[in-house]
Order: sequence, then structure tokens, then C-alpha cells
Amino acid sequence: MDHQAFIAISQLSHTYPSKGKTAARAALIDVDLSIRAGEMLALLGPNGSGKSTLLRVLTTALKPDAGQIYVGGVDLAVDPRAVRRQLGVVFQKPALDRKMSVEENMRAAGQLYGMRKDAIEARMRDLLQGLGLADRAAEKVEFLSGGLARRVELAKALLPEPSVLVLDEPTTGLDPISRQEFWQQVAALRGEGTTVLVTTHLLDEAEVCDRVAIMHQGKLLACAPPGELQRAIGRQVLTLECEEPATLLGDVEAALGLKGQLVEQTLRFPLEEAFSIDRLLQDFSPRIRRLSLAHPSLDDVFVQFTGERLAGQELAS
Amino acid sequence: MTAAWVLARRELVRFLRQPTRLFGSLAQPLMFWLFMGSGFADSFAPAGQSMDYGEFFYPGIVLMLLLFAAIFSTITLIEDRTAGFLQGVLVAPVSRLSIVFGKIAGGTSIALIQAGIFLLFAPLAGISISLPSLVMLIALCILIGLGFTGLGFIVAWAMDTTAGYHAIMSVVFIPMWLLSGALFPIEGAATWLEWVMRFNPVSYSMIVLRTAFYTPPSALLADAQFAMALIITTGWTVLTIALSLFMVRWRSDV
Repeated sequence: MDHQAFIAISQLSHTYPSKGKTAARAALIDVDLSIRAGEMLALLGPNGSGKSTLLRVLTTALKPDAGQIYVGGVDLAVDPRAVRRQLGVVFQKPALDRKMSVEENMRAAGQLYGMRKDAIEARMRDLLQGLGLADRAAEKVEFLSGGLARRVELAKALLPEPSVLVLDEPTTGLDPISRQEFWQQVAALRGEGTTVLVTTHLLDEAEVCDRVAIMHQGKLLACAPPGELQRAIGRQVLTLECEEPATLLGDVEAALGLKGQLVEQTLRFPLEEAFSIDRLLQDFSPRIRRLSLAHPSLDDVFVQFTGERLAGQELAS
Repeated sequence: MTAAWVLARRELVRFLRQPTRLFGSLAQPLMFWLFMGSGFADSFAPAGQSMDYGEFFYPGIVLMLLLFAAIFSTITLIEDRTAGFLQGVLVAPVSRLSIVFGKIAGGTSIALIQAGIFLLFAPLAGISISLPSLVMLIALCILIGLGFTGLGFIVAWAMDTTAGYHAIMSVVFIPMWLLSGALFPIEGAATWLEWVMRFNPVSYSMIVLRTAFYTPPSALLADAQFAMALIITTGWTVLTIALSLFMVRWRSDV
């Protein structure tokens, strides 16, 4: 285990028991993950990859079958309340009382975290000011737009000055502009030393984080800075669309000495070295419908590790 | 216990902010009392009682009010769960105990406000209440309210939909009230029903409440039937709260 880590997760496994007609499902399989203080880490994966289960375990909502979690040196299994005290959580689903005003929600949250009244008022003023909510403080949450309500959630999570900010798909249901604004506010926390753990299935959200952990079918497949993950699969990625991808894959591999993958009727070849596109065109151009050559994206990284596209899954779900 | 206080206060604030809830919670028992009290006036003489039906039914309505207040305040637990508020409370560093106490204290306070207002109508029922009796009645309403709210909590915690809760309300909670001696005395019922009623814990809440309307507090404990019923009611309240705590430990997820 990494002793520098602020959050240390080791050998974490959990299986949801079978229920009626639903079969038992392994949601987490031997997950090891260390997060340093002040780091911003994205858990990237499609629905059902286990990232939400991981957050439920971390926020003490779910007791795992096996494994350990330490947050700031506190063993979660021994003192879950002390772990909760260190966390500020923004859930995918809104957690505000819609019948109460922004201020009332904030005050109640502060009191639940055992803050003193004057500390709540001072910190609340700062946060609402900083998040552009000062003039809406007295309004009931039900009258706020989705984007503003999300910002209130963020303010509420930050109120007790948590060491770790946990964001579970925080921008679900937001329009692109609100999404961008929300992320700007999260990014602004970086200077303050808050550790941020965010789950997402959106590549552009993961790309701005210090490290990206790729989850798939309950396993943690890779965890590294986004640039490093991209470099690991080669300098460029060649993508081909064609009529008979399976046969073309074999032919191109044999002729050019490449190693490729067939993903959703598309061929992908990570390229290690400089590659002569002339030979490909010379031999295969009649059989290729579309060709692209690009620097690897996180989507390519995801395909490399899982054999599936993240974007495609997102559309399917 | 700050957390319990915060959560209880939220219940009250929400209740007071929904005027229809406040209005309905008072108008419904008044209407029931007025319609049934007047409707049965000539056709119904409670067995072994010398009073008219309106007077007989009055303590029964107070019990109903306590029950409904408890039902409607714990049903919000399901709303809190589905709307997401509960998940925020569950990740806060508060003990599970204060979540239970907050909800139950909040629900009981709401019940008490309603019962307090309704007790003002006692003279209309021909019952005069002395100040010591009023204090005693309020104390008993708190005890009974805690038990009902605890019962509601147990059911609501296990439920995911308000529709499911309504089903339980119709086939469990309301019959518990119907068969408590609120509508008709236990003594006059058919033998099998009498037995059902004697096993209904709410019947003892009814005995406690009914006796306290007519007996001065100083003489209450000397009344053996009252003392017995008080013990059972207290035990029932403790049991429902203990089970609520157990439920929260059993299902701590959202």
C-alpha cells in the first residue's frame, strides 16, 4: 500500500447478491487505488463498470465484501463516521430540500457536519459569492435552474471544508454551458489542496484531471495521467471503415506488420512508429471507405484496454 | 444530538410551509367527528356508556389525528429517499440514531400541534378539561405519537414507493385505529372481534387517552386499568423506536 496516499484502497471486492430473477453480479473485483492529497482523479467507465459502487463504498453507504479503505489514515471499516467527516459529496441525484431556500439548505448541512453557527455564516457567504449564487441565497431551491441547483450542491459539499470532494457524475442532465461552468468551478479548487474524486463517462471531463482510472466490469484496468495513457498506446491511431472489416483486418496485419482491433465494425491500429500511409493506400484503397489518422484520445485508450468504445456505450444506455 | 434537532426542525418547517397539509390535517378529523357524531347520534348508543356518540367518538378522533399525523410525517421519509435528500444526510457525519430521533421527534411535534388545536374543541363535545388534565393529555399524546411515528418509520424505511406505503396504511394502520375502541367500545363487539381488539396495541393507547379525559391526573395511576394500559403503551412506543433503529442499521444504503 502506498503510504503517501491520502485515500488508499486495497483489494476491494464486492458482489451484489442475486435477487429474484437478477443474477449475482460482481461489481468490484480486487480494486487497488491510491489517491494523493490534492490530486484530482477521474474514474472513467461506462454504466455498470463499478465506479458508482466504488463511490458507495467510499461514502460508507455500502459495506464491501472484502478489502480495505483508508481515508486520511482512518480505517473506513473501523470508523465510518470519521471518514464521512472528511468527505464532501455531490451525488448524481440532487440532495437538496427543494422546499427550503439555498441558505436554509446550507445551514442545515453545516449543522449536520457539526459546524459552529458563525463559521457556517462566514463560509456560506464566501462560497455563495464565489459561485455566483449570492443574489439567490433566499430563494427556494425548486425555483432554481438545473445548473444553479448543481452549484448549490457544490457549495453545500464544500461548506464543511472537506479534505476530499467526491463528485458522482456531477454534470448529468446539465446543458453544455452549465457543464462547462461547473467544471470551471471544480478546477478552481485545485489551488486549495482539496482532493477531488470524480466519476464520469465523459471523456472531456476525465481529460482535465491529474489522473484517470479506467474501470470496466468491476476491474480497475489502468490508472495514469491522461497524457501518459494516450502515449502508452502509441503515437497515433489509424482508424479504418470498410465493407468487410474482419477480412481486411487480417490482410492489413499481414501486409503491413501491424496489430489492430475490430471494434464496432471499425478497425483500429495503434501505431508505434512513423507509418507510411502510401503503402496502405496503394494496396487497400479500393476496400477502404473511410480512413483517419489521429493522436490517440482517451476514447482510444478505453478501447485499447477494454475492446469497447466508451462513446458508443453511452449512446446505447 | 444537534443533527436530530436539525432534522426535526426541518420536518416542522416543511409542514408549516404547506398550508394544504396543515388545513387538511385539521379539517379532516373535524369533519369526521361532526359527520359521524351527528350521523350516529340517534342510532348508536355505545354499550355500557351513558354519553352521546359525539362525546364517545371525540377521544377516538384525537387518536386518529395522532395516527394520521404520524403516517403523513413518516411518508416523507420515502420522498426524502427518492428525491435524494436522504443520501445527503447518510453521508454526513451524523449517527444513525439521530436520523431516527430527528424524524420521530419531528413527526411527533407535528402530531402534537394538531392534537393541541383539536383539544380546544373539547367543550363542544361536552367534555371539560382542567389545566392539569390538559397537561396530562398532552404528555400522553407525546407518548402515543412517538409510538405511531415509530411504527410509520419502520414501514417507510423499508419502502421505495409511497404507493406501497399507502397499501400498508389501508390494511394495517387504519384497521388498527378502527379496532382500537375509537369507534365503538371493545365490550360491545362480537367475541372474536373483542379478542382481536385486545391484541391490538393501539387499543391500550385508546384506553389511556379516554381515561385521561375523565380522570384527574392525581387519580390516574390509582386506576389499575389505566396503569396497565400505560405500561403496554410505553412498551409499544419503546419497541417501535427500537425497531426503527434496527431498520436503519439493516438498510443503510440509499
